[in-house]
Amino acid sequence: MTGPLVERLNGFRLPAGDPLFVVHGLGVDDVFVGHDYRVRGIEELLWEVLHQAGFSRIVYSSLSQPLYFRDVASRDLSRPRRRTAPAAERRMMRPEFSGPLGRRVVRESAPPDEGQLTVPGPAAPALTDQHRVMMLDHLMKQTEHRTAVVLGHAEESLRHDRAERALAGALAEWAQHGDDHNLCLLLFSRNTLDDVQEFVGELRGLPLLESYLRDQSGRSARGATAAIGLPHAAELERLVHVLRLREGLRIGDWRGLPLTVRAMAAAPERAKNWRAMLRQLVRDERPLDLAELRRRHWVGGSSQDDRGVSDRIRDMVGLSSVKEHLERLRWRVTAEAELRARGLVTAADSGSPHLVFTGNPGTGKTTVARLVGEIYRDLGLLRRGHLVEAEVPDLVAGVVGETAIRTNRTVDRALDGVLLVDEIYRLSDQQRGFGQEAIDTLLTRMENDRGRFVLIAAGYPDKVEEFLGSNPGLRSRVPAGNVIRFPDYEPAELHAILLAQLRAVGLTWTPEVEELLGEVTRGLYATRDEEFGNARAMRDLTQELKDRWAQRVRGVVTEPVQPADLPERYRAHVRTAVPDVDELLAELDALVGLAPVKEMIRDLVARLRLLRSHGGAAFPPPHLLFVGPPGTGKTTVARLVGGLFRSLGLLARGHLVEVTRAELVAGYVGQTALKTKEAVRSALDGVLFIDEAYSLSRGGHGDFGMEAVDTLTREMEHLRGRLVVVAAGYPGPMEGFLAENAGLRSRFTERVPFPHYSGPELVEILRRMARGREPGYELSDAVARRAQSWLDRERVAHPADFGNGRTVRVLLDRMEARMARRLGPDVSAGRAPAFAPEDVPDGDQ
Amino acid sequence: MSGRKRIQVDESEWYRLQREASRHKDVIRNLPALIREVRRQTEDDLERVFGVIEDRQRSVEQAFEGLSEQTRRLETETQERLRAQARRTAEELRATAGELRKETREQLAEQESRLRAEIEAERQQRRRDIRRIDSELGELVEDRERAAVLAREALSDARTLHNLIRGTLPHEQYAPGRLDGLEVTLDRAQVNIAQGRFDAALATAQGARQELGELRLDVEHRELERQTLRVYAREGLLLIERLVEDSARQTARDEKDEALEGFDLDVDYWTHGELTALLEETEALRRRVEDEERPPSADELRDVLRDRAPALRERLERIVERAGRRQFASQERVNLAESVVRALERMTAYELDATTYAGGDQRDAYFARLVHGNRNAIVVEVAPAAPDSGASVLRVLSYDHDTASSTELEERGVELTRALREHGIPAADPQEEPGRPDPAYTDFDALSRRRALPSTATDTQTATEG
Repeated sequence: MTGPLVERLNGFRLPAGDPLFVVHGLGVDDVFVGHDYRVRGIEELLWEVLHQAGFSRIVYSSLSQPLYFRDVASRDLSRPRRRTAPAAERRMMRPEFSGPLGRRVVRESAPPDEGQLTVPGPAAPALTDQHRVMMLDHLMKQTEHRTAVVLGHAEESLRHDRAERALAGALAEWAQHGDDHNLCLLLFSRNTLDDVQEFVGELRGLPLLESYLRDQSGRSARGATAAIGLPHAAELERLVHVLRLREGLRIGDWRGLPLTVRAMAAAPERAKNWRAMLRQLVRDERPLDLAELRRRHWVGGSSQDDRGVSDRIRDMVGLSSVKEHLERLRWRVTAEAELRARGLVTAADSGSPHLVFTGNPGTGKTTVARLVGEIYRDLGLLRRGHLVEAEVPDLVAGVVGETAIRTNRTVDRALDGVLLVDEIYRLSDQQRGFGQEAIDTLLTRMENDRGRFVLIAAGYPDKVEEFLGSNPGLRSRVPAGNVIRFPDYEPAELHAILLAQLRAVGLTWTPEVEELLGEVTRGLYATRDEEFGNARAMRDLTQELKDRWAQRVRGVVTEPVQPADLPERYRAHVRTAVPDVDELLAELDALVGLAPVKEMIRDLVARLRLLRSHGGAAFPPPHLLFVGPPGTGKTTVARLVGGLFRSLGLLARGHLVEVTRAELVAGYVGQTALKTKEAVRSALDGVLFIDEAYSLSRGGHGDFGMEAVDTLTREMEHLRGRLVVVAAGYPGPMEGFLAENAGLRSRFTERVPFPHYSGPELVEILRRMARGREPGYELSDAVARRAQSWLDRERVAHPADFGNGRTVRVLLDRMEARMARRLGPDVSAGRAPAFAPEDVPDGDQ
Repeated sequence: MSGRKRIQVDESEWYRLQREASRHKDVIRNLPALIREVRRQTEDDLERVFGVIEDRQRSVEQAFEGLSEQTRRLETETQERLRAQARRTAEELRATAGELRKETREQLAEQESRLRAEIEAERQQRRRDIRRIDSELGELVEDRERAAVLAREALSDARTLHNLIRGTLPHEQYAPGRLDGLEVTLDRAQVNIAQGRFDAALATAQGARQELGELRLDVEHRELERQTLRVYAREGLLLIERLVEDSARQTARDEKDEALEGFDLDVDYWTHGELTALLEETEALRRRVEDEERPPSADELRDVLRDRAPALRERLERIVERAGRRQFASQERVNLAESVVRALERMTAYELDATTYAGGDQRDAYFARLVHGNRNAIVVEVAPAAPDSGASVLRVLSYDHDTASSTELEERGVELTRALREHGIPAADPQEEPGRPDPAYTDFDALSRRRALPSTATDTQTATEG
């Protein structure tokens, strides 16, 4: 026979020159259905392999059966003196023994108690561990007959052997002095070589075997080790036929049989388990088909999975670019497979199958990864095509040496399938280089287990890019063409996903609600940050809606969802009609002066109204520069602008957070960025007002202010549409500051000048301020005139720090004090007193 | 490190029960053929002995012709009773011949007392008869003539009886000198007659006649008794001889005392010739009993019957029983060796390659040799512990060329003991014996030929204890 008996043994090679051969994997405990439709155990299978390889004596040993054989020749070679099988005559000795009474056994062994049930006699003493080792050692060392010793259940043997020292010594001796004559096979049911290595390491008694294994795992072709995995579809198909012919298994769907066995092969089951399950079908008199297997949860997948690959790609919501990419991938792989089948491919490597998925959470990366697995499986590139999702903790450990083991174990789980590593860039954050160790291990496995698994690295786009940039080894294995970008779902897609999910949880809704949810998804989309969950966020919303609805309808489930069921935190996204500009500006108009501000707001409103009337989306609110001397109402206006933007639907909250250098800059490296980010977060969906913004660059070289500026710049970009930054200050320094920070300057699109108030404006401010006091004062014309001349004098006397509004407040305070002095203690409680012209101070006091 | 392990194995439960039961058990079987033969021999013996008695009695009766009327009548009556008695005794002996009796002693005593009672009755009867005759005669001796006739008659009767006794009866054996003394009396009576002292002669002759009559009766009785004892004794000894011969080779018996066809128990072999010695002793004793030249006395015969024959028989039983047990113990040794070999083969994957008794003698220690592919060898010796104790000493001698460490050997011993106990074999804990095992034990050719071994288990034991 040419080729191995089963597909699982493809690539199974006996070592050349190594005396120890470690065989491991889930298949080690399995049965095998050969091309000849014979069902064999691992021992039988190995017997054939070893026999073909020219071993004339094949000996088996396990803890429970210290020495046994599968063929007479091997037994006779090992026990040359045992000519005949011992006669099973009762109470007779073996022929070699004879006394005066011949072979008779006269000695009464303990007579069985008549009253009791007959129990089996005492167990015959088994070969002791010491002597088992002695025997195996002898067999391994003799040269007369080429001998293979198969040490089954090696875990048990190594752990529980009472002659551990002798065994360790023997193994060491074989490993060191062995030639290519005799061979010892150690069968481990551990899945991976690393597991085996870890197990042997834990035993602590077998240092030589340990280092032998370590050497093996370092060898690229895996040296004297072999893994036997789970059955392939072809083998399972033979199993099905064996059971069909011999045990009466019925096939429900002949045409679907290839798909059925493929699904079976994708389930992580041993052939013997499948045999038991199929026998169950026979007993239950049920035919074998995919639906039956699914009904019994013996194979994964939903009932829609029998759609073709194209259908499945097409049926995905949104993701148009991903779909294109997948189609491309699919046809590339198909062509690849076809070329290979025709023998036209000569290059050893025909393109990397590994992929990178970039995108925010909830953008369908996992779903697509699963689909990729199935595409690869259907095209024969992967045997099982299952998906193993891994995060950094699945790859990295906190102890030296553990990381490689952990990574290897995760890769082993993903063998014949897809390994999706989410947030892969977090590997570079890991301490003590463990992340790099994991990356290196991954690279080794990608090389050694070429074609056995597909790595999909996933995460936020820029972070993945950055990560790949710093890991050229990884980058080289994932060509640019294999990077698939998962854009955030568009609002309409989010809306569709949301409605589908609502439908899936059994809810109905009014058209009004549908409209409302459209607005909410648009709002969510507009205000999304990097944490935004996309489809996941829709799932959350669905859940919250359902909770509110359930509370309201109290069991009347025919009641549709109403707008009232929308949770509070989503209401911010509900767009009201663009308010009338005059109405909006009423409050602003109440302020004195500020013509440029008012003009800017009017422009925004007009622009928004134009967009809305044409069905367009809102635009992100602009960052503002408020340039002007102190006391010209910048803070007041900033607060008003927050409210205005909220009314216009440009900001979700519109609150004002006022900060200065102290709130942004810290004293240590790295702290400033955090402090700045914190400030930014607190102002999210509102206004961050930075007074005297130029003070950030005040410290010069080495100052952390620059860090604050850089952080701020980055955050403004990231949180575009979620935040309005208002930078305020004197015109001169502000100009200088922006000139130094070009990145910052480009982000402030609106510059609003706050000029000094004119004399009459200041008087008008004074008048409103006085009216605003409790009790309200009225100013007579004489008082007003006197006040204006005082203010004019002040402005002339202190041109640099004239406080405008603030100076007006100072004036009012003084006027109040002087009036109080004038009126003395006898103030009647009735009518409010009025200012007299003399209450206005004369000059600068 | 020592490759010598010694494990004491106690007597088996069966052996113990056998040993205890044998005290109460008759190991000798009542075989019909054997009994027939002994009966025939006894009958022959009786025929011969009583034939002699009959012949004598016939010749006695002839001699009676010469007696006076009265004396003849008296002696004839006595003689008839004696014959009847002898016939009765012979009948009794014939009837019980060949019966193997346990109660010989009691029966013998009973028979003796009955015989004595009969003799005493007989004696009384005679005395009564004589007194009657004397009183009849007393009236007649009035005149001298008459007295002379009577005296001569009495003397003649006495002489006749005297000659009769001298000629036919073994009187010297039972009453030595008595007949001679009576002859002197008769001579004196003769002188008295010659001198005409008839009264004195009559009294003397009459007294002598009476005494001679009693002497005859006494000797006849004693002879009958002795002959009876002799027949008994001979029968007993013959029986023992036959039993010895019969026991010499018998079918071996299994642990349930059932015959094992095809297997003999050679009692003499297993007892190192004790049986032959016993037979010789018995034959010598029988020859003594049969001795005609110097016939054994009744007391001697009684001693044979009461003590010596039973003792011989007892010895025979012990010998046979001991032989059986030794044979059984030998078989047990092989059984034990086989169990040990079986256990060792399973435990060590060594393989049996030779077995032998020391010197080829089944009474001795049994040896088995196991070898491993790597030339390691183990020799198992099962030797009898103390003689007839039923216990065995098992020794495991390890000849290892490579990996055997002391713990390994220790475990080997412990495991073996455990395995034996699991099979119901009362094995003691293994003891280590000092020194390395003697390589001589691995040479099974020499072992099976040579009788003297370099050292045996027992020697070692003595050495260790000393």
